[in-house]
Amino acid sequence: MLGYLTKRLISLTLSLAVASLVIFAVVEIAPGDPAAYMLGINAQPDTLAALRSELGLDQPKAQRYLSWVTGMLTGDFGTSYTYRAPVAQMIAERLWISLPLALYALALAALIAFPAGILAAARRGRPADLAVMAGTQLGVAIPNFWFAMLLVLLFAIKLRVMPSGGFPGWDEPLDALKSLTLPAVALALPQAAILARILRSSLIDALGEDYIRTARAKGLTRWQALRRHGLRNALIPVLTILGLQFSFLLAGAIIIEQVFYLPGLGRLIFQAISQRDLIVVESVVMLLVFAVIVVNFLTDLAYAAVDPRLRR
Amino acid sequence: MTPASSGLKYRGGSGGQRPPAGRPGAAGAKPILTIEDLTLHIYDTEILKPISLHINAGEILALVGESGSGKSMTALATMGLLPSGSQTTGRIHLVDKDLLALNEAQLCQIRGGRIGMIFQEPMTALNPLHTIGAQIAEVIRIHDPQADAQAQTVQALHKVGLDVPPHRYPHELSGGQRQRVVIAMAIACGPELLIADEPTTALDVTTQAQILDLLKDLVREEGMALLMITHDLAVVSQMADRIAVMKQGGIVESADTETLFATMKHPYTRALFDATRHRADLPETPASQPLLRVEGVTRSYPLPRPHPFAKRPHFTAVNDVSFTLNEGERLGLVGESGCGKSTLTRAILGLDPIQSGEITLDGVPVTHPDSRRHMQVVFQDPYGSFNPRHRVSRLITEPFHLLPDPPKGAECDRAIDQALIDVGLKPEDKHRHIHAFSGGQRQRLAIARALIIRPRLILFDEAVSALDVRVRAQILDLMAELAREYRLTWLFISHDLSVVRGITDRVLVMQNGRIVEDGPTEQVFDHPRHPYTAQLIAAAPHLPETTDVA
Repeated sequence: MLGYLTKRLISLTLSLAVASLVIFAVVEIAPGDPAAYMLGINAQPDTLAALRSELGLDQPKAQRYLSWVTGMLTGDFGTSYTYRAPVAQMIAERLWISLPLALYALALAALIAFPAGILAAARRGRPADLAVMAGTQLGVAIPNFWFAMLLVLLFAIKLRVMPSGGFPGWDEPLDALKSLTLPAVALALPQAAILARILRSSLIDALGEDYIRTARAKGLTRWQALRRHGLRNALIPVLTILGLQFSFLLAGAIIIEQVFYLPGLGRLIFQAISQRDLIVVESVVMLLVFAVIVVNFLTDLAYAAVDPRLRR
Repeated sequence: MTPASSGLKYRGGSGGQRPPAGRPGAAGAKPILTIEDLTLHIYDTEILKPISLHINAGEILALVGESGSGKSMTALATMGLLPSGSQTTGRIHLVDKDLLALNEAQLCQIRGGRIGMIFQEPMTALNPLHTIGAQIAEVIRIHDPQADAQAQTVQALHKVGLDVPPHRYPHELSGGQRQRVVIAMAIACGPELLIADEPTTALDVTTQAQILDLLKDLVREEGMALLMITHDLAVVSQMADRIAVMKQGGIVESADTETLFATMKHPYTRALFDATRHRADLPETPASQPLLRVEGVTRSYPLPRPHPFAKRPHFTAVNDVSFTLNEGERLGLVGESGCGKSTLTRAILGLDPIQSGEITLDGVPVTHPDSRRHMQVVFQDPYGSFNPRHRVSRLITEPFHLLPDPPKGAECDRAIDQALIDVGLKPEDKHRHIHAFSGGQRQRLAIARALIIRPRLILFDEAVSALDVRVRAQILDLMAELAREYRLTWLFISHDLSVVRGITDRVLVMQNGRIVEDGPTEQVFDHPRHPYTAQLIAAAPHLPETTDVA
């Protein structure tokens, strides 16, 4: 197990190093001078030069890469070109919305998907299975922004039990949670549908295995055999999907953020790209890459926890 | 019951002391399982005709038959684990309980508690995610929540002779060890009836002999009744008290083992018996040139590093192997699983690189494209080795792409027709898809595919291992016929000694990556020189010898 952990950690560090290099290089190659963009087309050459040196754009590339990386390691992400504010602080503010939202949505998705997937697999071919399959088909097919609008119409406008958008801040935890609920539901629905389908098919495969027959021959009921022997064996593909979904939810919620007026990471990166705020783009992308790699690392650990054959 | 005929020399089993198979309740014997007029339909298909059988305490009943004869379904009906859509009539009594009348909850108490079951495939019968101890303890706790499951688990492991700590996972054990774990689970609660469905079919001969001994001892010591299901008469001839032969859902003959082998009243029993010990009639081979030369071949695999900075360990699967196969010779290669025979086969086919040594076919290295068209292979699995979407005509002409100038049009059609006729099929069959053929027919097609470019060497890799005995005998005869007609040279790779004996002139015995014995087949089998060969031959199950071959 220790060897496995070391191997995964080494691969995690290497991935991060390679990712930071690639991100830096790509942003460098992208056309457009941030200093010129910030000052507008009528800027004087000497002001431009002054700004370039202030932003550190006149230094050699290797040095800029190094100072960017070491800065990030100490929590200093640099200063936004457009807002003139520390990037770290901007990201932190947004992360306080996006991270809870992603976790909330993921928890909801799992909460819906597990019972639905298990029920469908256990009642394969019967009405319950058909209902779950039809429901998940719908869940995958409906665009989440449209579903989000329906939720607003029903719960915010008609019933007036939920806020229609905005975020009050975490000073009022209950209100904050309330304002994240509709977006989380909208995000969770398609994810839950995908997850339920994966779980169902993976569980049906597991239930066809010889060890389930062995379990039944030992005197376990159908349900006991499913719970004790089928479920854990069916988890590996489900964990893979869960890991991918988390990474997606963290930054991919941009449309939902737009619908609910949530100042999340998705909106931040969208604005930064349109304003050519390269340092923000770099940092947010790096943060997302970091999140994906860490989640993959955690998924690998989860695999090993589930399956003893992988612990080497 | 007719007494044993004078022509029988019966070996093994319990000899003649046991009373002949009586009716249920016959003097002194206590019937554990009694099946009366059991029929089974799955949807509208008749699976079992009315069958009746019984097993007494401490007795072994073998249910023998080919695939699809209904023997496994009889076991599943007894366990109450039939697939959905099954309908049964008749009675299955476990001592005093009518199993067909029980509900699911009551059946759960019977399964694992009063009836234990052992399956064919030990590699997949255990849950890979739980320790073996946990899996044995589970069956104990389910039937008695108050039991000291841990102590009983250790006891069960001890009983099956497995000296492995209970916190091991299945993937850390060999096939034979895993089968012992499965047996430990089956007997952990002290069942009255044990059902073993092909318990040794997936195991090597030496492991098979050990597992059969274990089962025999358990039955005698614990006084259990054992229902042993198998396709192999030889396996049960030495351990069963009685044998029931099944064919197409019915029992065609049932008698105690000695009587059954002596009389073989039903022609089907006789056919099974003859097919089991069938030997093909190979034509003589005149001395000739060497064709395949394997010289000092070593093949090793890199293994995963134990820790990230360790040197990569290697496993030597084939270790300095040398032999020569002459033109027209039929050579066998036998050995147990993991001995390196598959690795060697892949190396000969030029599919895997070798680390040292040389393999040449008529002087040309086998990795050279020119060698490819002189070598063809027939694999074990008649179901997996054909693309299901292509018609036979396309399937068997696949090797044509190896030829510089493949036949086209009418010439190609003639080649297809001839290839099909050669293997006993009809030219019309070329328009059909593979799913329309039985296992034996598919293996004929595989041979047709191999023969169509008239290769100089054919490799048969466990080519008849997946077939029923009667079909196997037909395929072996076909091979002998083709050898006579086309003077074939082949390398026949198998774990099954009796088959190799019937289809080769010379045999190589492989152990741990090395060839330990090489000699004419009859000589090796009758007078093995290497102790490992002797051990293999002694472990292989054999039929009782009869002199009256009717």
